[in-house]
Amino acid sequence: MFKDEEEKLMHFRDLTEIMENTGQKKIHDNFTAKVMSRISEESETSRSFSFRRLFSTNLKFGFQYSVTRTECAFYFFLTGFFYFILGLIMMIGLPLPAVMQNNGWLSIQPLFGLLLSVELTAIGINVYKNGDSAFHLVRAGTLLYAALIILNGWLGVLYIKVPVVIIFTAVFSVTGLIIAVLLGLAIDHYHQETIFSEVRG
Amino acid sequence: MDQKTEAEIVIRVLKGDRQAYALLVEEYKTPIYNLAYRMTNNVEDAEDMAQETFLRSFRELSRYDTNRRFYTWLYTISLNLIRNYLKKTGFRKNDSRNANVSSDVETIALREADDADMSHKDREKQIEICLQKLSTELRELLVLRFYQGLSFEEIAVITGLSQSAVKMRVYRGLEKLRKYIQKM
Repeated sequence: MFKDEEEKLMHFRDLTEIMENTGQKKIHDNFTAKVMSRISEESETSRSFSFRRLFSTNLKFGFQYSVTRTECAFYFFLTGFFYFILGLIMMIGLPLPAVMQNNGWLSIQPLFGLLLSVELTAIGINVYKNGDSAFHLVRAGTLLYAALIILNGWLGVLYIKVPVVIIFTAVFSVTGLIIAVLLGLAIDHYHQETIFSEVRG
Repeated sequence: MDQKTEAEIVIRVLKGDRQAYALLVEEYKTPIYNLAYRMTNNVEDAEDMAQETFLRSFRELSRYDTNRRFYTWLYTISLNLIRNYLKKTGFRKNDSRNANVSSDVETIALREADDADMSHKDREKQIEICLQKLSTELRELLVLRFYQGLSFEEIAVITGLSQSAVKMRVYRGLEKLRKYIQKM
């Protein structure tokens, strides 16, 4: 198949030779200096937050390859969906012991799950629609998600005095934070989708 | 510049030695500028695109995978920028450019009626004019393959296409290019 295609290309040798032998356009000498001065200007005005820097480690874990815009958005949608289902289950009502039924913290958990779901879905939509340009906002949104998880876990420990529930809350919060780290790593491994991604094999 | 040197420079830059990035700019400024020039057919736009490519790659350097050649990454960034730019501004420009192209074409056709008599420079110009008539996708592939001299394998890495898909599209691009030239 390849040989066949190469033979086909040989029929255009007259055109390809001209293109191959066309000289390169010279760019002016101070181009590099211009780029470097723009970099200096930018670096002084903005220092972007990076999850990779925050969680920098020599361990080989995370994403081996670049994460495309669609993949990155999908992770957020998936996490949002997870919290949506969790929120619904809690809203429909799991049987709670009488001692816990009037607990303020527990009563806001369904709403908290739905809030996270809305936030993560909104981030996913933002990533999908705006790609690269949305990433400062997406990073901030992911940090907010992590902060809400920590806050919720902390409040849970303060309000609930039952040891088993405290352990359950801690596990739930840690899981949430692991998800936040994974989402952060996905953002850091984000790579622009190439123009041909839609036909990528 | 080999891959190891590129990776070392990138690590230096990431560790804070910003000036080391100038080595990468110096190494790749000509191909990136030429890619932008062949795509936009405008010197000022090409310089803007090339500058933007290097700025973008600097900003995103922490995402660069050192197992990959730096220039393939740079080309991917550049192509995305060019694509977006052409999508935003190119439509109207292309219309006016095509109008210019038509008048250029007529002039050349009148001046050089016989293909055999055409000088090498005229053929070069003719191809350049017809290249602008191709779709962005096909033009990119022809520019990468023939003006930039990249292999099908390298183009496949840059575009995310399979090698056979690149070959097919290059073939299709050449076919169209030939048709446009014959119409002149």
